[in-house]
Amino acid sequence: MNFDPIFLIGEFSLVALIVILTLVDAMRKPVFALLGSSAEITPDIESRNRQATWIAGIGLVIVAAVYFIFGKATSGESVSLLHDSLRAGGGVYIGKLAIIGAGILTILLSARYTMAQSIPAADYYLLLCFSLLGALTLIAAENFLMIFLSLEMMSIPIYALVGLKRYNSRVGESAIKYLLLGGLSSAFLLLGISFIYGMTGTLVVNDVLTHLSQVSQTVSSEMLLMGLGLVFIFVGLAFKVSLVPFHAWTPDVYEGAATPVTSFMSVAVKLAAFAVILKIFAGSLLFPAFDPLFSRLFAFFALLTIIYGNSVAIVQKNVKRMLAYSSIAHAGYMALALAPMGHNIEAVQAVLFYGIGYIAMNMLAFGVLVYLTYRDKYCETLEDLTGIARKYPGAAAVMSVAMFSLGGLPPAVGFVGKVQIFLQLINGKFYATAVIALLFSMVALYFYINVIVVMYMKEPEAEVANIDKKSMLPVWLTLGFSTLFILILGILPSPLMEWSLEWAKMLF
Amino acid sequence: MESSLILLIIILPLIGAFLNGTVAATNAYRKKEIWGEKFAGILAFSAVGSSFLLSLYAVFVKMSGIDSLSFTPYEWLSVGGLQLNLSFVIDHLSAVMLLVVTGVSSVIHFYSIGYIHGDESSVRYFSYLNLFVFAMLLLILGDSMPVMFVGWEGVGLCSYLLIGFWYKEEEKAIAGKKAFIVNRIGDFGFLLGMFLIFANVGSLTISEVNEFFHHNNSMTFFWTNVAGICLFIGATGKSAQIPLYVWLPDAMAGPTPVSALIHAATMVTAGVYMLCRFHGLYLAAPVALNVVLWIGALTAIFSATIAIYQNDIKKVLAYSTVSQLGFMFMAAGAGAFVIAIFHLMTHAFFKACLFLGSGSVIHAMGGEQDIRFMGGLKKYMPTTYITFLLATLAIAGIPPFAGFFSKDEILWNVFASDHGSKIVWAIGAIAALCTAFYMFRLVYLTFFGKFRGTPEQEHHLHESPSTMTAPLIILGVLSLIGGWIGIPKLLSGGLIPNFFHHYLEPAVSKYGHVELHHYSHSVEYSLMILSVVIAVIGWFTASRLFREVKKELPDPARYSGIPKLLWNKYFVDEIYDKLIVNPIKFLATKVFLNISDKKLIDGAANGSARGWRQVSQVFSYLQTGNIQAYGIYIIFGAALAVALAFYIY
Amino acid sequence: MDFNVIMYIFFGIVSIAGGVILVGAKHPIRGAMGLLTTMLALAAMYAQLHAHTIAVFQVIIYAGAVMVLIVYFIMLLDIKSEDYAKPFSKFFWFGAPLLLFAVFYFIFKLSMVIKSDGAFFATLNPSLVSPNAPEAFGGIKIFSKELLTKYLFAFEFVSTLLFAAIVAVIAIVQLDWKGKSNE
Repeated sequence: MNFDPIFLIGEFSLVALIVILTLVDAMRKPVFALLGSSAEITPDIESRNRQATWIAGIGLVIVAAVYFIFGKATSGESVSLLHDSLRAGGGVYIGKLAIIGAGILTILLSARYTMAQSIPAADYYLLLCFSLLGALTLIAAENFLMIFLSLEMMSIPIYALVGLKRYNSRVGESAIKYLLLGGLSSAFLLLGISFIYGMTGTLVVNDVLTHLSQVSQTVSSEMLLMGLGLVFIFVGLAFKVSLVPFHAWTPDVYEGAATPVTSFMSVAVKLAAFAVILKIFAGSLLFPAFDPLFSRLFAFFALLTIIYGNSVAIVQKNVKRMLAYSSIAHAGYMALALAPMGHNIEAVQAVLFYGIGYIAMNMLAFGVLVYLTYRDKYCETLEDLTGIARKYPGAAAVMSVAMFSLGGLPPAVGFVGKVQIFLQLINGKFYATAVIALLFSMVALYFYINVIVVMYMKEPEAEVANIDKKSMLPVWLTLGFSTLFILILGILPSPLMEWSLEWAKMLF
Repeated sequence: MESSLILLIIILPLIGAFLNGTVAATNAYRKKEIWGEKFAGILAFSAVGSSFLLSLYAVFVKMSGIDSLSFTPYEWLSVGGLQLNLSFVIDHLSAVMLLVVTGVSSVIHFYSIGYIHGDESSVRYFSYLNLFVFAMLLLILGDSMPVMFVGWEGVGLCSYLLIGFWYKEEEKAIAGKKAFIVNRIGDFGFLLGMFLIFANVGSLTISEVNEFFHHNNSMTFFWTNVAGICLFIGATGKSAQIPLYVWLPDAMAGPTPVSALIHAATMVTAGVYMLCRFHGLYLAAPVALNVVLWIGALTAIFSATIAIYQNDIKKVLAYSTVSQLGFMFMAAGAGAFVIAIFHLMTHAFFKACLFLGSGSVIHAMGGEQDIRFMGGLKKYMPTTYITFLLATLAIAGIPPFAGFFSKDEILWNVFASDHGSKIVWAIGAIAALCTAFYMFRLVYLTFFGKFRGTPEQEHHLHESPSTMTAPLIILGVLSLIGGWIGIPKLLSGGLIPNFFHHYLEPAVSKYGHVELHHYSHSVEYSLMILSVVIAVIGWFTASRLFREVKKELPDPARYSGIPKLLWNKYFVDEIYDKLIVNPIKFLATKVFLNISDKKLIDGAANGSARGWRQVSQVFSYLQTGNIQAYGIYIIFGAALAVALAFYIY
Repeated sequence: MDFNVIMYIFFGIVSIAGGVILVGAKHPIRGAMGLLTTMLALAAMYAQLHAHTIAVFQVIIYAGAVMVLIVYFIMLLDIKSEDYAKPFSKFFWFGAPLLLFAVFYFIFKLSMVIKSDGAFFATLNPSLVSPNAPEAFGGIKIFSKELLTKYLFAFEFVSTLLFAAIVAVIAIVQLDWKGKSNE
């Protein structure tokens, strides 16, 4: 067994961060007691939170740096590690960096949010790091067992994170909902995996894919059983990326969860789950027996998702719910790129490009909501946004950038992403599908632009409330970074294309 | 070095626009000035001016001896077979455009400093103006269709912003909207053409597209022509040709320097320029070329006749612009792309001069634009008068002014070219006659005779400040000498080479050129004399009718017969209203607003409208919040997927 | 048919019946017993498949530890059967037969397809154990060897996962649902 720890050094450092986070909070009491300062034994939650934020934030930046340095160093040929448990090296570090980046942005947003809502930050960040660990192993997973375990590792902390908020009737309910439905989807995933294992006798993804590609095209029961297995796996993963009709948890959970958690779920979890979908369904091996089926499945569910997500989003008055439906619709766009099932690297690259770009857009949109939220003043509905442009021109401006990008207008990165997706459809001769999707992305413009209209052109009914400027710097960091990311890569997208291509090569 | 030069030329106006734009925005917010109109104007002018100087350097120093400078700063998109680069090229064609645009822009920026003085949002004005120059440069220098299209849309946007610059007056805001919407219709054609070309050629780089059509045109004859016509539809929108010319006269609502820059000298000529860029395609599409020829000729005569009966000084010039653009398209349609660009250039000089002159007049008249109430201005504003007269002589085609050479060559090419036609030549000649007539009518009514306005206005009459007259003098002189670089060989007996022809030939004849029929020199001479005679007849008639206006000019409301038809612009706006706008409005208000918007969207917003209830009910039924229901959806979805699997296997 | 196969099918039916009891029972303890039935039946099925180790684990961990925990909770929280007796939604009587039909149709269709594919049907092994299974398949020795070599990383990963789950539970529990954490 050849195992070079350099390939997993990023994961190790993340685990180290987790240990530090655990110990620091757990050891606080004994340490202070040892020092004999009784006054410090129960410090207020704010200073605890601040400490945890610093540790988590700096720790994750270090982890990101480790990934960057060692990722570059190992970016040659990817290798399979630990008896085909994980695949490391190659371009996967791009994906890991993107996910860690999403994690850092989430922490920057949480700094203010945990403070404002008195959420115990130490637990919060610990759970976030666990979830990150799951996402990182998920995109590197090489066999189905690891895919399942990583998926759980990613999801279970999030079930708790959703519930980890000041009491509010929606919170506990949405956490339970997410947990139970997540269990259901895991069951589907496991059923699919066991079908596949039964038919191929292996759990290693690449071996399974080789098997699948050799199944002859004539209809046989072997084909049917494998097809069923794949369908169940598809269902399990479609739940995670919330394709309609596996989406129903999304609006409730997104609305109920703390806003930074919502943003993390909508970008990192989705991206990681899409990486798995791409790995299984869109790799370089053609599956003559299964491609027609999955071409239809992806086209059908993606279109359904786009139609449903965009039309329901129109009637939402709650911005978080609106963004939830918008995130459903965006998952539809990403899945749509797979509809031709051409197994070309451009499709994989287009989806990854979209996913990475989507991190910045959604972080920006949710970041503005975090910016405007303090204590009992939630900023969640359109009314809360009415006429804020006068008072908070900066927040309104970046929100407009986010809406432009989500709506797919140039010069934002969302435009380039959509162009690539639609080019995939055109190349695959899915003209009707492309036209319908395009039509509904125009419908989507209505509610994205509506946010801008409300912010700039409507007079607020009451005075726009003052917000506490506490811990505003990290929020501004997130907003600034995301805005620059969206605009620069929207105008000059080729670096992001190269990165996503590099990652795509690894999944391919 | 070369590369950064091109980049600098393009980016300088953008920087100016950005700085002024930010300041304008903060000024508006903070209610405190960071810098005022003076500095904004100087900044904007120096940005464009240095861009012009750099262009001069690039074209005359860097490009001496070579065909083109190109620069690809960035690989923009590369998806599948599609390679989109952010690439720029200065070849001889774009060099001419580049010099005309940056040169005229510099002059007009300078003029604007005086013109916009005292306006509360002058900083914003300069920001838009600079942004326009940037977009125009993208359009001109872009080597691939998407870059060109970005510029194409950009100039449309700036034109919209500038027409509606005084957006508080509703009429002006509406004019801006009209321009934008009509242009959008044209852009749709452009996009269609672009898609057609991409689908068949597989590339969007202009030189490759031309190469494709020149060498191995695998596209069928039919589709080649369709692509050509689609692109031309885009050109009719931008360059105000039939049937999409209606926005240009209304666009005169904007500030006069804007009319001069955008709606006379530069943006509206973009369509002509685009046709010349794609001459490889058009030479392979004779039917499309014929359409261009005829539309150009019809527009020329159509709007020239309308101009005869207009009383608004700017409207006359606007219709004149439409008509002159028609001449350019005639030239392009006859395959004489060099001449089209030649006329484009001379037109830029004299029409900008006319517009700026009219701006100067309006300035002196305190906003009055109706020539019935002017007259005798020549003694109050001598500089304006002289420059205006120079430009009028040029546009009327009196030798040796600039317009003579270009217009005469257009008519000759239409007459003699393979693609031309004698009928079109006759139409063009009549249009030229009308041109001379209405232009001199304008001059006589404005500058000659007795002053017909109020005494108060007369008291205020004065020559404009030197920031405004200096540009007039520059452009007036250019209207005189601008044509001399393209003197036909015949006229000088070959003594003076036709510089312009020689310069442009390699760029626009690379993919073949249209042969002229062989006529004897005497035919060419007599046509030339004929066109001079035509111009003089127009001048003479106008002078007989309008030199000394004895009785009061008739009120247009009492016109009847042909004058009524012309005064009302052939009722085209009304016809469009009846045939297109009203049905769409009906559809929009009665159908979409009442049913979808009011019921669906407003209803959703109010949450109580009855029409929405049923639909909303379905959704709320789905999103019950009931976890069992959610589970059922998942199972239902899975069942659907499984059913599909069974269906296939 | 082999006796083993008959027993296998029998236990399969028992496990499904246990599931139905779990969902339909009016009293929580009865439901818990249904779950226990399912788990035991599953253990039996594993045993039939010669996966002895898994069968033992199933009995010890699920039927033993997990079930004890569940029963404990039910008794501790003293859930009355009235809390539990909420009637099914009115859609149940419409949905349940439909679902049942769908499931049976699915099984029927699956079996038909497999039966019709003679070549594949012939390869199905009636003895429930693959002939090319390794020596001593299902025994603790080979199981441990695989677990501690091939699946070592996954095994360790599960322990991290459990830690994460513990943290998650503690984080939720220590919230007093009013705002501040208990300290």
